[in-house]
Amino acid sequence: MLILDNSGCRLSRRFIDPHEVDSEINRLKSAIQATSDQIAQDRDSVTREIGEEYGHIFGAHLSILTDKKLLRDLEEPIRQHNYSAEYAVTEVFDRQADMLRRVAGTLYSERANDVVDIKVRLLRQLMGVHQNSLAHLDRPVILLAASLTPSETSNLDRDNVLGFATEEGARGSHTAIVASALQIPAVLGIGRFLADVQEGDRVILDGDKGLLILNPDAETTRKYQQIIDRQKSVSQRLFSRSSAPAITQDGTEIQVFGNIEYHYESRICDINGAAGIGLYRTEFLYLGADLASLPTEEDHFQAYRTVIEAMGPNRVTTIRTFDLGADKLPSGLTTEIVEANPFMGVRSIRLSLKYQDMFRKQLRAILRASAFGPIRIMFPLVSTILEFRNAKSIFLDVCEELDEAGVPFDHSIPIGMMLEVPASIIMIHTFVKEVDFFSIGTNDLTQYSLAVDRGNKGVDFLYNSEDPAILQLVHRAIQVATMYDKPISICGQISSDPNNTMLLIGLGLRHFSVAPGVIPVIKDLCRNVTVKECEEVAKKALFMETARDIRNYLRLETDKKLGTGWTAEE
Amino acid sequence: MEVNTQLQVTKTVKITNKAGFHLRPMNQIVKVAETAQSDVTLVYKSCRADCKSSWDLLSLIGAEEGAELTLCAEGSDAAEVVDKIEALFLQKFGEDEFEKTASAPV
Repeated sequence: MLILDNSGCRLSRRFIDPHEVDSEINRLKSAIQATSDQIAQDRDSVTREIGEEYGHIFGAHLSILTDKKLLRDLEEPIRQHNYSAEYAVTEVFDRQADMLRRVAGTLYSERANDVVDIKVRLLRQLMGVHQNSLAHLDRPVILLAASLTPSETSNLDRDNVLGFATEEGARGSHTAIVASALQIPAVLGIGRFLADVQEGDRVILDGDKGLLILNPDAETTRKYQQIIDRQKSVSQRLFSRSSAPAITQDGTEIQVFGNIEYHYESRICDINGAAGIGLYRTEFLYLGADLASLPTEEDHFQAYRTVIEAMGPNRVTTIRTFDLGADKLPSGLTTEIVEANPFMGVRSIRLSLKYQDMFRKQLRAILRASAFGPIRIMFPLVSTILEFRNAKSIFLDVCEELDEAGVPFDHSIPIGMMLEVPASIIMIHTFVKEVDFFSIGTNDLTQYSLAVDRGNKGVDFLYNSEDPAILQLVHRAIQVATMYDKPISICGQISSDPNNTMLLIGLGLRHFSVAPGVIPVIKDLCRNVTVKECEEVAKKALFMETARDIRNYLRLETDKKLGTGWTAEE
Repeated sequence: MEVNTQLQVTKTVKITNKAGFHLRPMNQIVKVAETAQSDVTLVYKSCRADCKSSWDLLSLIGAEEGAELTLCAEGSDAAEVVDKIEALFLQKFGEDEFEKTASAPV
């Protein structure tokens, strides 16, 4: 255990001689420059390792540090009052941090931490304290500190920091976000406790429950040792075999694909042994950081190519064309589309067919990316066969354009569709003749079948993907698609819940499309069952009358199979 | 919207993302404001911040979901930059959609 004293830097000199003003300001400027370089490095390494969403934090730090007004605020006391650079930095940043703590509610006061982070880095630079001692430790420790900044957290020695606990901080803070992305167990904002521990004491950190236990008794220690052993063996079993195929006890292979939204998630799919990408949601290109302008064909192309290359030549990437509208609208269209009932309005494929320029731009980018690896294209929210034909003819049109322009692409891309409108499943016997593959979107399917807005708290008790009516629809879709030899998967939440795995295998599902984190769990479960017993489970479930009965029954069967407590933490 | 002259535009914008005003929204606003010729300011309670300055905008951190801010631009492209920044607010800075789709995949 290591107790960190980061109460701040002590300052030796507060004032300078008047003739030193210019050199002091130059010293300040070069420290700002050097610190900016460090932050830019952190931003790049964090973006590379855990993704753009986290890199943004340091991008914001950089934009604060290089701000002209900040420099003006720092220069002023040096010129006017002969402050040393260190003293000016401390005063100016502390004032800003104090102001933040004061104006902000308790939930937000945490954000002053970002300002303190920048201050500490700048001071270290000015005083020539370069090394970050937490980046290189000589033994495994649990770190206890008054607080940790986001940059300290991202630079922690991940081999030796087993976890950390802080007195200050909050669950939603950037420090917590970075810790969770790096999978470092952390408990933040416990309140005062550092006075009660000494370096070398035994402590237990329970990141799941948010507990820090000081000087635990023998019984507690034994209990936690058991939990650790069990988790280790479960996760070792899951991850050691995650890349092996998932074959049931009676020899049927189940393919488990990953659902992704951001291109860097393809790496998680790769590590967790995904058979490919079952659903790549492309809306993020429209909803991401730069809302002022629509993405270019090149933006699309680069994002798709990254994913396709990450998956390599043997694993397919299923790209769903943009599912915009209703609750997800790019800024350019918000004023144009005004609807009383947006979920029944111009959304998804309907929007694509209405704004064909956007749609064609995306299709061109997908086709260009197809030269780099195997892909499939999937249209969302198709209601009628005419709509599918319409979308496909635009696709063929774009193919022709590219051929004429001599642009290389894969000429045998399978074209599939989402099954999420009840009508499309009722009419699936028509679709199977023209559509290459299907993916059931149980979330929207549930919303439309049970006529329940999933975002409405007044009716959300009706929203159950395990409702018997949904099972009937799913069953029919799988049966008919399988009869016509068309691949079918489920990418809704229902398939990411391991409690439903047996049911879905029993209903005939052979392709799962799930959240990347649960891939190893689902694959492991598949290896522990027989198709025959899954069919028994499904048969019973299909006869049940309520979602609650079905859920309880499935949980019982799953627990029986693997014992309780096997579910991997997410 | 109230337009005083050709060159000055003032609009009330509302914070609708759950996390409120923090570093990410701030960064987005600076990026948009920097591209404009106009002077752009945001006013919240007693704080007035230059939208081209991250350091200035820090003083708005703590404006929570539901808070109303006054957005003001003065210059040749005032209307345009006000529209762009308002769009960021309307789109919740791209944040809650991210949460929503992350928890509800389809």
